[in-house]
Amino acid sequence: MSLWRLTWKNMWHERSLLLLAMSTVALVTALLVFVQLASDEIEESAKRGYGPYELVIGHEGSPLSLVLHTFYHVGEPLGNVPYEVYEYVARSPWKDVAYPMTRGDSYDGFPLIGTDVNYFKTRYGALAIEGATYEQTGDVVIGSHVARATGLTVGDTFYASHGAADGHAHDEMPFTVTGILPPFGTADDRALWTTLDYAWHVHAEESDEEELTEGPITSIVVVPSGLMELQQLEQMMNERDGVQAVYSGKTASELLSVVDQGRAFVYVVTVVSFVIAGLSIMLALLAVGASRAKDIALLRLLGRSRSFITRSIVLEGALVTGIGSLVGIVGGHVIAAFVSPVIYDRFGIAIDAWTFQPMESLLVIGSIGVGMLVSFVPARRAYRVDPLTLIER
Amino acid sequence: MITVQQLKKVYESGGESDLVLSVASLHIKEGERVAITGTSGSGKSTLLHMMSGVMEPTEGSVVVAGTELTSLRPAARDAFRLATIGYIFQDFHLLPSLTAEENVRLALPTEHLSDEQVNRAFQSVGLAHRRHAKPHELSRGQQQRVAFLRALVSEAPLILADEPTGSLDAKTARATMELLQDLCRVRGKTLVCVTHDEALAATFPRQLRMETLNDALKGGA
Amino acid sequence: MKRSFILISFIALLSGCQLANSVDRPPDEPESESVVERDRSSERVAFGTKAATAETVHPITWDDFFDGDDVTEPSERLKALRGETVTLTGWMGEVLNLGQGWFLLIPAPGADCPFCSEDGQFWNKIMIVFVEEPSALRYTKEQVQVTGRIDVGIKVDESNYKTMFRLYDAQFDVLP
Repeated sequence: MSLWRLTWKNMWHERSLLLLAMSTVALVTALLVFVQLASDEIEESAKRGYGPYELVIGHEGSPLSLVLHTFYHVGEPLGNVPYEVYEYVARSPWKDVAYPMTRGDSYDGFPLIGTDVNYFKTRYGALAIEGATYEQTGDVVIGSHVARATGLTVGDTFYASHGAADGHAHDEMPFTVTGILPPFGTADDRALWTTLDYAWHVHAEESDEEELTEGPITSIVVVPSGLMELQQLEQMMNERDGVQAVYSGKTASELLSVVDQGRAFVYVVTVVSFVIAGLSIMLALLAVGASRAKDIALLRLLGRSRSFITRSIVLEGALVTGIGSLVGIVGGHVIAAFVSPVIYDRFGIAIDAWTFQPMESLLVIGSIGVGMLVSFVPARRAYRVDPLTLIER
Repeated sequence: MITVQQLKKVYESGGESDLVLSVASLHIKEGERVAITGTSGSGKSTLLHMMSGVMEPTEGSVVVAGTELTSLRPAARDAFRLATIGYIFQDFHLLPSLTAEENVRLALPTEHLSDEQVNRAFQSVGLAHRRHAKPHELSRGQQQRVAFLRALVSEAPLILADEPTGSLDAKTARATMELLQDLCRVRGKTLVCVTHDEALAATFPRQLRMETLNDALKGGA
Repeated sequence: MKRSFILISFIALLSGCQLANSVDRPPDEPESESVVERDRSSERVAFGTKAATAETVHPITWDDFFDGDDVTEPSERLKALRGETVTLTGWMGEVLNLGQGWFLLIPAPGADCPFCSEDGQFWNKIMIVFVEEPSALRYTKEQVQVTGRIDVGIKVDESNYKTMFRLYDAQFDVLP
C-alpha cells in the first residue's frame, strides 16, 4: 500500500479532529486574503482617486477630511470658503483649470454635488453620457452606481434631503434626472451632480432670503499650470485665514500610510494566529498519534521502515495545512465577493473579489512548511515506537 | 531457509543478567512446516522474533534465505522483513481504519495485485464476499484469516506465526491451523509456527520442543 | 530522512518570510535596492534584495545643478551626464503622485518652497523623480537617497508638467 493511500485512510479515520485543525488554518488564511484584497483596492482607489487635481482648497481643518469628502465623497465637509477665494484662484496665473464645488445635500445616502460640468471632461475626457448633462438649476446627472442602487432613470424627479440620508426633505425644490454618467471606476460613480448654485438656491428658498449668484464654496479643485505654480498657490492659499490648501497626492499617501499600518497590524495578528493554528495541528497530530501507537508498531513489525512512518505523519501535517490554506484562500475570496457590494455602497471601495494574487501560492507553500514543521514532534514520537512493545507479554 | 548458530539472548535489568535463550544450532529447510512448542517463558517467541530480525540477539548468527540478519543495519532488516517474511500474530492486529482488502495490501509495498488476484486470495480463505468489510464487522475467525492473507499474499517465502490460534476457540483453532498449513503448502512457503497447544502442534510434519532446543533452560533454571 | 525533513520545513518557512516581507509595507521604509555606497556583503539574501547592477554610478550634489548664478539652463556637468546613472541625497517635497509614481526631490526639508517668488517662474534646484516601483512610493519626512538615470533640459515630461531636472527608473532609500 502506498504512502499516500495509507496517509489518506488514516486521515479519513480521524476526520473530525483533523477537520477542526484544518479549519483554524482556513480561517486565518481567509482573513489574510480578505485584508489583502481590501487594502489593495484601497490603494488603487487612493491612487486614481483625484485625477489631475493636484491641489484642493477648502475650509481650514483636517487635510485628510478635505481630500476624503472632496474626492472620495466620504464624510461631511465642516465648512465653506467665501466665493471670492474661488475668484482669486480663477484669476491667478498659477492654475490651468480650477472648479468650485458645493456640497451639502444627499439622496438615499449618496451625496449631491454642485460643480462646473467641465469637471468630468478634465478628469475623464470625453463623456459618453446617457441623456444630457445638467444645464439649469434643478437638473441632475447621476453616477452609474447611484443609478443601479436607486433605480433612478432619465426623467425621474426627486427631492433631496439636507445632511444625512434620513434628514428632512426640501419640499420646495425638486430635482430632475437629465442624464446618467458612464462608470468611471472611481468614487464619482456614487454621487449625484448638478449646477454649482443648487445649495444657494435651496437655502434662499428655505429662509426667504435673496437668492445668491455667488455663494459659499465647499471645495476648489485645481489643475496647476506647473509644479512651481502648484507650490506657489498652495503657499498663498494657506496664508489666508480660514482656508487650507492641500496636496492631494501627499494626503492620499498619508491615508495609505495609515492603511499600511492597519495592514501591518493585521499581519502581526495573522502570524500569531498562524502559530496558534500550527500548535493546534501539532496537538491534533499528537492526539491522533497516541491512539495510533499500536498501528505504528504493527507496521514496523510487518517491515515498514521508520522513515515510512514518519513520512506519513509529516505528509498528514502538510495535507492538513495545505488543504486548510487552499480552502481559506477560496473562502477569503468568497467573503470578499459577499461583502464588497456593502463596502462599496458605504465607502466607495470596490473590492475585486476574484483577482488571485501571486502571494497566495506563497501562502499555501508557507502553510505546508508550517504543517511539516509542527508534525516534527509527533513524527519523532512515532519514530521511537518499538515494535516489540506489541508482542511482549 | 533458516540456519541458527550459537544464538543467545540475555536480558539485562538492574545490574542482573538473565539468559533466556541459548540455541546451539537449528536448521529449517525450504518448504518445511515446523511447529515450535514449549511452556510460556521457554523462549519460543523470542526465538521466532530473532528469526524475523525484529529482535536482535546478544550473540550468535541467524541466516534467513541466505542473508545474515545480524550483519544488516536496522533499516535494512526492516526492508528485508517486508520482502521476505510474512508475520502472523496472536492478536491479528488489523488496522481498524482500513478494510480487509486494504489491510492485506499493507504488506505489499510495491507489488500490485490485480482485482482478479485479490478475489482469488479472498476466495481461498472463504471471504470473497467480505473484501470490503472493516475489521470490526468481522468475526475473530474471519479477522485471523484476513491476517493470514496479509502474510501470504506477497512473494515472501517465509511465514512466521506466533500463536496464530491463541485467541480462538478450540474448534475454530483446529480448522484455522489446517487452513494455514494448506495455504502454505499450496504456495510452497516455509512455515514456522509457535504454539503452546500440543495437539495442534502434532498436526505439523515437524515439531520442535523449546525444552530440547534451549540450552539455557537446562541445568536447573 | 530527518535532515531532509528539516531542510524542507526550513525552506517552506523561508518562503513564508519572503511572502510576509514582500507584502508588508511599513509606512516610511519602502523596499529598496542596495545603493553603491552600501557594503554589498551585507545584503540580506533571505529578504529578496536584488544585487545592484554593475554600472558606474555618478554621485552628484545640489551645487552641480547650475553653473554659478545662471539658472536658465542646467550645468554643463549635468548635461554631460544625461542618460547616466547618478545618485543624490535630498528630501521629499510635498508634491507627489502615487498613481504615476513620481515625487519632487528638494535640497532641504520643510513645507515652504524657499525659492518661490510672486512674479513668474524661474528654475530651481528641484528634481522630479520617477520611481521604479510606484506601489512602494510613500511620502516620508526623512532624508532620502535616490539613484537613477538622469535627464536635464526644459520639457514637458511624463507627469504633464514642465521640468528641468528628471530622474528615471529610480531607487530610493530612506536614510536613518
